[in-house]
Amino acid sequence: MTSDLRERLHDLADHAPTGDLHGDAVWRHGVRRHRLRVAGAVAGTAAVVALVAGLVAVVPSPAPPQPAGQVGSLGIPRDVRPPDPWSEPTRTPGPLSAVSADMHRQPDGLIGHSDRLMLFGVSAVDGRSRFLDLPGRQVNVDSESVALSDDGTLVATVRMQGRRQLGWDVLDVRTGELTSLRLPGNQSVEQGWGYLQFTADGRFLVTNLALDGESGETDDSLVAWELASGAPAEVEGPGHYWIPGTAHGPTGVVWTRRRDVHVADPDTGERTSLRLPHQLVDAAYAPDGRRLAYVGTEQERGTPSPWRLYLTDEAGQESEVALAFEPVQVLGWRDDTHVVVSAYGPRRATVVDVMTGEVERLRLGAESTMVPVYARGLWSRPVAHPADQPGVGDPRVWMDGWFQAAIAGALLLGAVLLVRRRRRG
Amino acid sequence: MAEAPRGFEEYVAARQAGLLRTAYLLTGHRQDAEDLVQQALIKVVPHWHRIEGEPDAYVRTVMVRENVSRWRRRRWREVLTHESRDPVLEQDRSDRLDLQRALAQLAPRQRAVVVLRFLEDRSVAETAALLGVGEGTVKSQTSAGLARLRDLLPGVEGQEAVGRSVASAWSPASRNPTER
Repeated sequence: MTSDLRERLHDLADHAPTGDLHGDAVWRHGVRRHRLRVAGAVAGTAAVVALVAGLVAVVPSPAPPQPAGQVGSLGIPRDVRPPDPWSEPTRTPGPLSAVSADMHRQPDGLIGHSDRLMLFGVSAVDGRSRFLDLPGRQVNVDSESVALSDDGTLVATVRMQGRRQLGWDVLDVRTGELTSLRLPGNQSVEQGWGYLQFTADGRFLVTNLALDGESGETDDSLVAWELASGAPAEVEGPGHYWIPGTAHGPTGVVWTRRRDVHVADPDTGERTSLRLPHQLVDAAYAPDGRRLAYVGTEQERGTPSPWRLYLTDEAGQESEVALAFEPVQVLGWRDDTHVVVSAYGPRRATVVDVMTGEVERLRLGAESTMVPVYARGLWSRPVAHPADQPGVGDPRVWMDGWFQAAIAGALLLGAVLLVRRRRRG
Repeated sequence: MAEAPRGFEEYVAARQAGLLRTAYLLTGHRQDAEDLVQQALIKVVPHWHRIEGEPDAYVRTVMVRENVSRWRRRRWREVLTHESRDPVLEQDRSDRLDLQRALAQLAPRQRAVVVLRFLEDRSVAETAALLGVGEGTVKSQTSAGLARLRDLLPGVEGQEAVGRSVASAWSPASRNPTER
């Protein structure tokens, strides 16, 4: 036998089978196999996509607790933080400590989104912010078109339809019940809101009111809407200059006109008035109803004059509280001797001891686009630390970064497998 | 189902014997060789229109790599209980059996290098392209394979080819494959 490897290999190969393969049979087999592989690849890719989509959908997102029905224990939030713009609005966020507005985001098409201003409330139970599911389009949202009851359970908003103001809606945030306050015959209301406030007991919503088209300086009246019946009761008729000044008290409807503070019982119509030395800007009675704190000015109309904080006791004795800042609004009373006032500029809310004149800066702030409206009854509680607002993100699965990464990974894996298969023949 | 193109049928008829010779040395078993050739031909069906002009290199590439893949798969899945012997060679108690056993001792890629270089007289570059490895790997595998064969078959000599074999130069235009 030869020692040459080449010859010996050929000699061995001569004993190879001759084979009886038929081209057409092999071809059919090959076509069938190819189709099966293509179908398998498609099914595999679909399975991976479905699996990833299923996992993304199934992964539990932190479900926001619904504190509806609970009694809030938190006080006014030090910082009002808006919810995640993608979070779902709700009608039952439970008792609120503050209401404000910020941008709510909704999907628009496959990958787009649209933003619109929406009211949200800060829970007095867990401190979380939630968008409020109120009907109608909320336009020109500002703190004068929103009211929050003293206990934080009722939210009132102006209800628009197109350019018409239909009236007001009141949402019970514990039950989600919505009360619509409308004039008979669905008459439109003249826009230009200025007075919108609940009575302390939450039985009435007090608004200024003029019919659509009555835009004169003396056309507005002051109306108390009974929430139980939805019926309006006139507290102050038209004929007064412009709209009344805002004020608040533990009982009845409270409003101001220049130097006068008026208190009316909406049930009986009985009315008392108090004339003060200074023109009123904003006023609030203490919880016991004995002291009145008000921001006032010595000016008559058109004459600039600084605003100051004044106190009037039940005997009618008035005193000025010296402050290092110019007060703007009486936010409420912590107790019968401590009043909370705000000033221009951020974080200027201050608690003033009306007995000693001592002040305590609260450093309240807001990260939202609307000046917050606070629940007056919650000033008695300690200011609450802001709660973290959980991120929600775009609800569309295909916009999720992890989903996109998983799809890209699946495609890359498929491509790698395909290249490997092709290389291996 | 689409009928087989005429070129494919002609290729199978003309080249299966040559492919089986290589496959037989790669697998060391007649039945495995037939399976390997059939599997390689089945795999090239989806690509036939692309390779129709010169299919032989592609078919052999698929066949060689398929053999390596099969060896890998079998190594994981099968436990060798006894040595499989070719009944034809069993009767032919000659040096062929020794050579077959020696080839079986080589790793599949080493065996492929030896078969491609010394049976098909392929160059280092061609062998590297067929196996999908670098030329350096082919050289080292050739050297190692020869050394191993010399150990197993004392006196065997291998002189490496410097050019390509005409055996691979099949094309439908020639229709005259040269067999050795």
